[in-house]
Amino acid sequence: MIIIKELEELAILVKDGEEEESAELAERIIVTLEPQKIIQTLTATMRELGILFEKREIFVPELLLASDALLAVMKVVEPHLQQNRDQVRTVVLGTVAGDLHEIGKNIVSVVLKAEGFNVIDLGTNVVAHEFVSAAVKNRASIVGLSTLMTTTMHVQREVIERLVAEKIRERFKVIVGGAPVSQKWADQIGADVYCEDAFKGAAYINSLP
Amino acid sequence: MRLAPLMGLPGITLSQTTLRQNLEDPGTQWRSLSMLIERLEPDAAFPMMDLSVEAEALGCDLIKPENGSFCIADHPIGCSEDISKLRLPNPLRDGRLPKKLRVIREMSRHLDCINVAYVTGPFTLAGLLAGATSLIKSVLKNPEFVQRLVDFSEAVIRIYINALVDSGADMICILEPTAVTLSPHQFSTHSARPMQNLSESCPIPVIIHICGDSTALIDEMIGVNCLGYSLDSKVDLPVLARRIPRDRLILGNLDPVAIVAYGETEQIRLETRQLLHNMADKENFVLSTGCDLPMDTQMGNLELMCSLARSHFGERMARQLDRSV
Amino acid sequence: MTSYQRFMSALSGQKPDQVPVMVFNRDWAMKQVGFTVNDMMNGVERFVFAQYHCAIEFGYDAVQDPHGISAESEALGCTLRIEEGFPLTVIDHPIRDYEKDLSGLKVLDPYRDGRLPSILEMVRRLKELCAGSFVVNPYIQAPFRNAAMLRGNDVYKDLSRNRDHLVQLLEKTLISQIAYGNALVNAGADVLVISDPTSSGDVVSRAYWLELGHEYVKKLVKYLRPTGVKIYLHICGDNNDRLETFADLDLDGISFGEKVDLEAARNTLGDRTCIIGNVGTANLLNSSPEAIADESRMCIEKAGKNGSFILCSGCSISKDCPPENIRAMVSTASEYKY
Repeated sequence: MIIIKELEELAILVKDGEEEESAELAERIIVTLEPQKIIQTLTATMRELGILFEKREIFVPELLLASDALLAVMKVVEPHLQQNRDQVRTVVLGTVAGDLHEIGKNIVSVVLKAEGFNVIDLGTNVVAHEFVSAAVKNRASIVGLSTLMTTTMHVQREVIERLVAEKIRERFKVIVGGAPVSQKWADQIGADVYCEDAFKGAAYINSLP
Repeated sequence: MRLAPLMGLPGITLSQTTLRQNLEDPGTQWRSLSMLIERLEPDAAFPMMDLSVEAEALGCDLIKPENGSFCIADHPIGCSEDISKLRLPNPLRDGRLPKKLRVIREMSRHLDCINVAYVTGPFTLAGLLAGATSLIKSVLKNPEFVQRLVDFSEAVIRIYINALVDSGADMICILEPTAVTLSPHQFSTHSARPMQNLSESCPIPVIIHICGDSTALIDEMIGVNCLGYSLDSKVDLPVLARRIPRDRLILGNLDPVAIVAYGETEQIRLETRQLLHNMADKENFVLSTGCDLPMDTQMGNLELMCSLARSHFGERMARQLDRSV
Repeated sequence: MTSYQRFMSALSGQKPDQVPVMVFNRDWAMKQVGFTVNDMMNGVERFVFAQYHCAIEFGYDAVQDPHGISAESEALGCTLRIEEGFPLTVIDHPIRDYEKDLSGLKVLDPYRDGRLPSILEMVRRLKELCAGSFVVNPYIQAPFRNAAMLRGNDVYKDLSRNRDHLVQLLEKTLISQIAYGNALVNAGADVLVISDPTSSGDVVSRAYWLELGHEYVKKLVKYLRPTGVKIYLHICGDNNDRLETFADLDLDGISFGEKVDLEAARNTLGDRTCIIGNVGTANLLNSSPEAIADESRMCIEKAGKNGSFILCSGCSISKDCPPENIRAMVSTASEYKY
């Protein structure tokens, strides 16, 4: 009962973006609780945040703070996890070359981590061939390409063209996102899907066989 | 004003230059723009969108790729104390501000259409100075810091606007993309408020452009007393248009990349006609793109979009004249 | 000539500047603009835009309304199946027992019943957009068709076993159709198509056609003529054995399905009656543009060499009809030299 109460408290602290308090509480409860239970709480919390975001009850500022809190908790929990990485799906993500925007990508990264995926975040200003080589090297199954500028969207197309040219397109699901991106664009360049926010991205990946 | 696509960069393919050359040399930029505007004859002309100029004039280092947008390499403002170290720029001297003024002067001298100058919006400029992620988090953790930095940014922009007006701009377009991340209340405090101040003090008309899905912010945007609002392709324009007063312009919102830049001819015809059809009863509608067109936009697509618009608005005017006779 | 002028010229028995073209389409046009069947049933402006855009984009000469021939049936109590991927279909029939159900059958009020008000709004909007450019050509059911929808397949048994009741039903449906036809004209219809696939030669004998289907089309036309609207009949199926029966309906034109020999139709009906048709709908779905061009040319040669002809699909085209096949029809018509 105490443990459930503390998990509820953890969920509230993460939702409220209380980074230090969340980490401190995580340090206390990891001693007696299975780490997987904490991860489940984080997953559920992130999903709740997704619903609130969709309903426009919270916005990016709240999500960013909650993400920081979640990452702080994960930092505490991860060393205690005994996960077989081979069974976990790997996602390679980044913001494309010429673009330094990172907010959307960072939120995606946190949401996917909360869902239990192995996330390789390549950062910003990532050229097409780096996405491809990271995806191959890390045996990823999903590649996520973010951009916030119309002038850099062509790099999303270049990544897919590279995958096709190397005859490895079928090995990956390619998700595209960012303010100027649309499903029409995704269809034009041969991406698998356009996801308008991190939560829809996570839902899509979860739906994959 | 009926046709005003956000286009500047496609001129680069006409002048066979690089983006860097255009952003650094006003003569090159004017040449690219003049070729584009002569070809397409919009009712309003924009220069090349460049959100780095004000931050650069304040001392930020930039990354300047040959054919990519200039980006801020570092964010010098970490706390309120850092703001006091900033100095208001002199648009006649600092960074590339004088070069932007020269482009506007050329546009003013040579163009018959409305010439519109861009400025970076106050919250966006604050985000470039402090880092967008850090600023957005500070909205909740340290709102006084955000307010101070936004106030400073507002002062910078005001100075720049005055210089643009002196250079002959007919209209100012405030670019405020970072604000789309905010809640309506946060937007009202940290973006709408300073934009209202800028609009009130500006002697020429002001329009606001916010990229992305600004649906949640529309009421607060309408609260900013300005000439009009340029909206991105993610918003449902006919739905939002019902809330926008008839004395304000609504600009938008063809998808600049999937449709206008790279779409098939049939798609351009369909999407343009559909938008014109859906907005047919709005006298305050101006056909535009949802955001900036990329450099390699197919010229044929742009020409088609413009000709469909002219034909549509021309026919409407003829019908109105028939009815009035 | 504009599309409107060309179409009307042919419908008046004349030879316009080139062969006019129309296509019976509803969900096909919606598909071209990316809308669904649900969009079609729930949005006036979406459908209006789809019709207008496709007429400009493909270059044919008339725009239509979405229901084809089911709107009146729905308004009188039939249930319509509205499902993505399927044409609109009437799936139940309220006049099951004449004794119990006929007296309760109302006369349509087009300004209030079912979706008729929104169809009238669509016609009004299409006229606003297309006046003088494209012909606004909504559908109206023939009285026998309306009766068949209300009775279901039992209507064919009624022909021999329940004639009196059927006639009463036809009299009632006739009044509804007159009311609806007038409302369509008031909304701005340039041309009405009376649709009667249920009286086709594939299902009804020549004798029954003459006694009932034909009789009630004639009455409907008589009551709608004073509005000044142009009217043609669309009747599918093999009507080769009754071509001369169409001559005294006082129609401006007849639209035939692909089974009819257009040359025989022209020879029988003379030059004044506009003949409309009859590129096969299955061909439009499955054949190549070249084959469609050949078939279109043949239709024109058989019935349109001297004008008084509109190239058209034999019936409603599938929503999956390749757009290039429609372009092939239009380009063949525009290239044909009289």
